[in-house]
This record gives sequence, C-alpha cells and structure tokens, in this order.
Amino acid sequence: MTDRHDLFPGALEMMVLQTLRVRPLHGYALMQAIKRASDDLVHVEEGSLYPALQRMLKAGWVSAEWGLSESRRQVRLYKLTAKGRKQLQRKVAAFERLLAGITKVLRLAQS
Amino acid sequence: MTWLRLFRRKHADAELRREMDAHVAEHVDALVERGVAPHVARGLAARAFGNRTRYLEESREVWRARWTEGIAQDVRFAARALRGQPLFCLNAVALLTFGIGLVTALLCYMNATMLRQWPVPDPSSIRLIRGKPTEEHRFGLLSNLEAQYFRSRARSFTHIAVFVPGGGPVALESGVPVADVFYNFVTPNYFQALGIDIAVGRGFLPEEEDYVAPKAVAIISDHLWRRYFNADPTIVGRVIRVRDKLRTIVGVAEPGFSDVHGTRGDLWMPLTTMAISFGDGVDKTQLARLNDPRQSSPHVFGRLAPGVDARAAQAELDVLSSQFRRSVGLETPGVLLFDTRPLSTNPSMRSGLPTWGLMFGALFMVLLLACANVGNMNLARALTRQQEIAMRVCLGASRWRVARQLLIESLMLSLAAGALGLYLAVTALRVLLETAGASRRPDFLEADALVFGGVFILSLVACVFSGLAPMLRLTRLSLATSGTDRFTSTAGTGRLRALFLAVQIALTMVLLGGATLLTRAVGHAMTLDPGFAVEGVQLTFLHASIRTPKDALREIDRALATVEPPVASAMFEPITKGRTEIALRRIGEPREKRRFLLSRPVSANYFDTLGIRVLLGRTFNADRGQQEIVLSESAARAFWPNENPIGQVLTRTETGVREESHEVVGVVADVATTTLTEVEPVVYWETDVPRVLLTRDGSRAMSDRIGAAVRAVAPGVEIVTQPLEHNLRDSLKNLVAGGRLAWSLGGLALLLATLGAFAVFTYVVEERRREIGVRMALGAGSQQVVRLVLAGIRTPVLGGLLVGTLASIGGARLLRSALYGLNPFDPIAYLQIAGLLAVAAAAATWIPARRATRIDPAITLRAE
Repeated sequence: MTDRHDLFPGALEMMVLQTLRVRPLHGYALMQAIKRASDDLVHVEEGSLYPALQRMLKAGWVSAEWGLSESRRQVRLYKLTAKGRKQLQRKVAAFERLLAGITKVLRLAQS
Repeated sequence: MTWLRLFRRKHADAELRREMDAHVAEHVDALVERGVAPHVARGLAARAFGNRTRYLEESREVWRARWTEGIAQDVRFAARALRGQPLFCLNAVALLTFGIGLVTALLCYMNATMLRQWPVPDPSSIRLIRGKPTEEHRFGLLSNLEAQYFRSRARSFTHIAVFVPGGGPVALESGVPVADVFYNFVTPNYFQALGIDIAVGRGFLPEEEDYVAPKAVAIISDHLWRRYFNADPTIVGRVIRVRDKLRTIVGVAEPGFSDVHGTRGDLWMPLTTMAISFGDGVDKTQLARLNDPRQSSPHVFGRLAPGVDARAAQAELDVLSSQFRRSVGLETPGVLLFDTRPLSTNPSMRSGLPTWGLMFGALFMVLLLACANVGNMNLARALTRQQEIAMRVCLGASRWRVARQLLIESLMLSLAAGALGLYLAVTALRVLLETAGASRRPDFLEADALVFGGVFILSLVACVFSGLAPMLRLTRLSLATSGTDRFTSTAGTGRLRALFLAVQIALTMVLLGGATLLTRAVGHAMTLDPGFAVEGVQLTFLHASIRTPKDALREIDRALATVEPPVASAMFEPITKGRTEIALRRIGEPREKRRFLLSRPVSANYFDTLGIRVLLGRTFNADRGQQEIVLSESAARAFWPNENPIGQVLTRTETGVREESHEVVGVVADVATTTLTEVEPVVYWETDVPRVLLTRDGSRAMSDRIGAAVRAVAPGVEIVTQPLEHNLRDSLKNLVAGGRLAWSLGGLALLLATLGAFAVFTYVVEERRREIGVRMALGAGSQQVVRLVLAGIRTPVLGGLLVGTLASIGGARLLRSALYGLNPFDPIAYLQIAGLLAVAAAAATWIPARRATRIDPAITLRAE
C-alpha cells in the first residue's frame, strides 16, 4: 500500500504516456522501459500499472489490442492515441512548471 | 440486461487475469535468462508485481459505475450480515425506532399546527392581509369596506376574499339536528380565490353579497353531503337550518376540501348572512358593522397575481390603504402581509415556541440516549467482527470500502427505524387526536416533505451517533491486532464506552432534574395566595347549548336569589386565560389617554363569596345595572394615583360602540387573574348572563339545589360542578403536563441508561475473562476483582453526574418563567437525583462484577 505514495497522483500515467510515444508496448515491457529510463530510481509495484492503464483506456488516452510479445506470448499492446498525445503535452507542461517552482524554492532555502 | 453485463464483466476479468499472468511470466523468463533459478524467479516476479487481487479489484472499479454497483453490493452484504444477528437488529431497531418515533411525533404535530400552509392549490401565492397595529388598534384594523376597496382596485392580486369563522348545529328543515359543524361566512369569491372547485351545484354569485337583503344560501362540504345527506343528488335547493336559521343549499364543494384551518370546516355562507337573526329577520346593526370602516374583519386574504412578488403587492396595498383611510378620516399605518403558515400569522404561537423547543430538546435527548445504547451494542459487536474485517482487509478491501460497508449497515438500521418511527408516530398521534374528539382536518397529520426530511435527518443523526464510533474503531484494525489478542481490551473501546456511559448519565440527570423542578413548581404554586378564598368554594359551570334562549340565563340569578349561603355568579371562573379587555378613560380626556383593562362581569355578592376585600366604597347596587363599575386597587391607582376614585366617572371608548359613562362605586383588593402569579388591573361590571356560579357551600346538597333551580328556569343547560381548587389546578395544567412528560422521559432515560450500562459491563467482564482468570490464579480475591471491574466506571459516573448537574442548572434557567417564582437551584434535589443515578449505575454494574468473581481461572486458561 505504501508503494503508491512514492509517486504523486498522475505521475505513473505521465510516464506511461511518454514511454508509449515511441512505440506500442505491452504491460511488462512498458514497466521495464520506465525502470530502465529512470535508472531504476522509480519504485512502483508492477501491478499498479494495470489500474492506471484501465483508467487511461477509459479516458481514451491509449488504445489496446491483443498481439504477441517477443517471446511469442499473447499480450495486450497499448498504443498512444491522439487524445493521449495532447494530454501528455498538457501534463508535461504543467509538471515542468511545478518542478521549476519547487526547484526555485529549494534553491532559495539552500542559499 | 443483467446477464449480459455480468457476461461482459466476466470476460473483461478473464482478459485482465490473462494479461497479468503474461506480465509475470515475462518477468520470470527475464530472470531465468539472467540465471536465476525458476522457483526463485517465480517468487521474485510475484513480489515485484504486488497484490494481484487488489489491482484486479482496482482495475474493475475503474470500469464500474462505482457508486451504484459497489453500494448495491454493500447493501446486499449488509443485509446478509444483519440477518445473521436478528437479536441485535431487533434490539437496535426497537431502540432507535423508539427514540426517532418520539421526536417525529412532536415534529409531525408542530408541523401540522404551525408550519403547514393552507391545503389548497398553490398555497404559497396566498397572502393574509392585516392592518398594521397602532396605538388604537393593537391587532391592526382592516375593515370589510377596506377589503372591498382593495378588491376593486388592487392589480397585484387576482382575488381578495374575506371570511369570518363560526360554528354551531346544522339541522334538517324539520329541525332535527344532524351535526355540529364549523362554518365560515365568506365573500362570494372565496372558492375562486382558494382555487377550490364546486362539485355539485354552483358557487356563490356576486349578487349574493347583498348588504340590504342578505341571501340565505349555503354551500356544504363533500364530507357533510355524504355523511349526513347520503350524497343526495337533489341536494341543491334543499333547505337546512344552521343555528336555527334557514339556508338553501346551492352547492357542494370539491371532495377532500374541509376549509383552511386545523379544525375542519364544512359549511359556507355569504358574509352578509351574518346579519340574519333569529326568526330569519335581518339585524340592521350587524349589517352596519360590515359597512363600518372602523370595524375590523377578522380574516382577509388575497391570491397574488402570477409573477407579482409579495413586496410589490404590499406596496400597492399600502397606497390603496392610505387612499381609503384618508377618505374616511382614519390613521394610515399601512398593511402587513403574511403567508398562510399558522406560525407566521399567529403571534401567540411564536411566544409558545420556547416551550416547544424545551420539549423537543428533552425528546431529542432520549433519542441520543437510545443512540448511545445502540452505539455500545455496536462496540460490543465490533469485537466479534474483528476477524471478519481483518480478513476483508487482507483480501484487498480498502479502508474506505470497509468503512462504507459498516456505515451502510448502520444506515440500514437507522433508516428502518426512521420509517417505522414515522409510521408509529403518525398512527399514535391520530389515535390520540381521535380519542380527544378533535374534529381535525383529514390531512392534518399527513407527512409532507418537511416531516420526511426531518425523519431522514433524525435517521442520519441516529446512524452517526450509534454507528460512527464502532466504525472508526474497526477500520483502524490491522492483521496484527486482530488474530491473536482476541481477549484483550483495547484502550480505544474502553474510552468510548466510558464516554457513552457518562453521556447517558448526564442526559438522564438533565431530564430528571427538569422533572423534579416542574413537580416542585406545582407544589409551590399551590401554596401561593391568589388573593381570594379557595377552600370550600364550589364552581358550577353552566354550559348553555345553542338551543337555550339567552333570556333564560338571565332568570337564573333571580331563581337563586333566595338560596343560603348566597350564590354568586360571574362570566368567567376566577383564574382564566380567556380574556376580554375594555378601553376606559377619565371623563373629558382625549381618546389617546385610554387604558385597556381586563373586564370581569360578576354579581354584586361575588366579592363577598370569594372573600375579596372591598377597600373603598361598595359593590353594585342591583337596580342601577351596568352604569356602575368596581375597580381593582391597581386599576384605580392607574387612573387616580392621588385622588379618591369613588364617585369618579370613566368613559368606555370602543370603536363602533356608543360611548358610555360609568361611575366608580368601589375599589377592591387585587387578585390573581390569568395565572396564579399574574395580577392585572381589572374592571368589574355587573353580569347579566351568568356562566359560572360560585358558592361557599361545597356540599352535595347545595349543588343539587343549584342544579334543580337552574334546570327549572333554563332547560337544556348542562351543569358541571367542581371545587375552585380544581380551577387553580387547571390553570397549572401545562405545568402539570410538562412535569408528567419530564418524569416519563426521565424514567425512560433512567431505564435506557441502566440497561445500557448493564449490557456494557456484562460485556466488559466477558472481554476481560482471561485477565481476571490470570489475576485470580495469582491470588486476587473476589473483593479485588469487583473493585477492578468497578474501577472502570468511577470516572464516567462521576464525570457524567458533574456535567449533568451543571447542564440541568443551565436548563433550569430556561424553565424559570414556568416556575412561579420557585428558586430553581435546589442542592438537595440535585443530590437526590445524583444519588439515584449512582445507585442505578452501581446496580447495573454490580451483577456483572459479581459474575466476574465466579470466573474459574483453570477453565479460562485452558480455553486459550
């Protein structure tokens, strides 16, 4: 239960959308890609990906279809939709503003 | 539909599971590739994935219409959980029903008598119209003429109507009485203004408001028509007698309509027919009153035109009122508009509100007590449910989900109790009102949105007070505390239970404190000296029926003149709330200087019979009739602070009545008038129509003699005899009733609190069985065990008593006005109540404590 609190709400969604920008991925690959990209700094229970994916499916940010993984296993491949792309831009912009703000405050506190 | 949805859900579930399986399998493959042993890899992958059940559940929740489906499921589950504990449910629902029912009954009654609008279409656009009160017209003046002026000119109202209520027997033309009814004299547009249809025949015609030759027509209610005329289709044109005057029925009002007051009204006649007198002639002075701009019409109302708001309407009427009043030479204070709720129109109702508030508070306290009891039961139940809840948390239920589940269980109980309470309250009230013989409007007790809303809120209150504490306690559970320490009491529940007990004791203390005060106040009031003799004086009430000729009553005094000891007569009993006031001023002084005095018509020997001292002058001289008056001491002082009032003259000033002069012949001592403690200035006249006879001989023989004498001259008069003391007691009726109510509520509270404490401590002993067993095994004696158990209640009992005492001292301030000058602070009374409560609390805990000493350590420890 505590694992989820390592991320702020919406962070996982944002990373998923960003990762899916390159190409469609299935759940496990998606999780690995996020971990690799973050140099293993992001710790989330892998299972928490699925409720997040369901939420994004419902919102229409991603679409899914069954396909085969590299190991020839039946998996669901998630693809970024146009709506998801727009959402990603909006979210990233908002996040960057927030981060810039926080960073400024932290610097001020240091000096 | 359902199976399709179910199928889709199952399908989606299966897909999700497959996807998750694939995820883990991929992870295992990756690990194995890196050289991890397969069985280790499976464990690692599963751990990295986390709580699969929970994520499955969360994913499902995304797709669900969460609020409806989840809750429907919770409700089903709650029903199942409650069905498993029928005894608990029965107890809890019974307690809550009882508590909610009491408050609801009061709510229904207050709603019906104070807050309900008129039972007509769109009542919110109806406004009652009154003149603004002035020095001269303290209740506001609005004459029938002025209402007519409004009717013909006001644009903000579609109709303006006038009605004057009355009542009496209705008879067939032959003279056989069929019913006593209430009726209204109305303007012909009455029914249109109210929006009520005429079902049979026709409504009143404009020309039936005839100020020269009143048209003796009538419209009857559907109820009267069916009940007493067998729904006779030829009813139109039939002639009936209303208070012995002939009327022709022209119509029957729509079914269900029984006028706009709390009591039902079943007959309507044109306003001008008020002037039809006995023998069906026309009383000219009555007609003149209807055309006198200084004569107030009791009830005027209008229906607002669509889209016109009340403020604009008031502005228009203010202007019209000023125009009209200037034309007849009257002050122009303007008008007031009221909506049709009795509370807004009746100022005396507003002054009664604090009493209702106190009653509401007392009943609400009983509800809280019932809630505290159920809360305690819930706490006890919570412990047995620990494992179930812990299991649900383990299986992936979130804390909110568990809380919601418990909340729904509690809500189901309290809503069931609310519905049942409402039903019982309305039924009980209906039965009560019917046995009291009041002819209430049929819709009188109908529950409306306000009552339903009230009951709903009460149910929520009950839910929160009885269910919230156990809920908070249970949802804080974790796996670690639930499985093993089954028999250890936790500090949390102990504190809550103590709080519940303290609250119960404090509430009971407040209720019993109020009850004691009211009872003492009755005793105290009976020792007050009203200023006249009470002992041995007997009252004989003469209830003249409508068929008793007025003149016959005048004969009564003469018939009793020879009886010894003398029989005095009066219009009213010595202490009565019923009042007539008369305006008097010193002769030669302007109208503005007049004073309103309470008027009491009595016979000359009234003062002697009641032992009221004549301070100056004499009492009435029989042959001078009503020219002479006697003043009470305070009245005389008000007019002539420094002069001798005997022989002075006062002028009676009343609108519409010829001015008359009266000579003051005597001054008598002040006496209590409306209540035992209220002394008002009084003017005494010689009575001509006795309604009450008073004598100092309270014997049976005397009352028989009076009865025979009365019946000889005035047949049909009903006679009721009672000692004057009863009259005094009657004047304390509300106080006595309040005391009784407070005692029964206090008794109930005591019972609830005792039973509650008993249940709780039985449970405490059960819960600490192991601990007590260990202590006894280690050599604790029964004394120590009892002390151990009782130690838990010392703080809540003392705290409850302290808070209760403070609260009831505060509450006594609210009661002060009803206490007849009794000092509300009485330490001995409080000590007695506190003692009673302490004994009750001790008794309730003693039995469980004794039971604790009988615990066999060997058996308890083996059970572990």
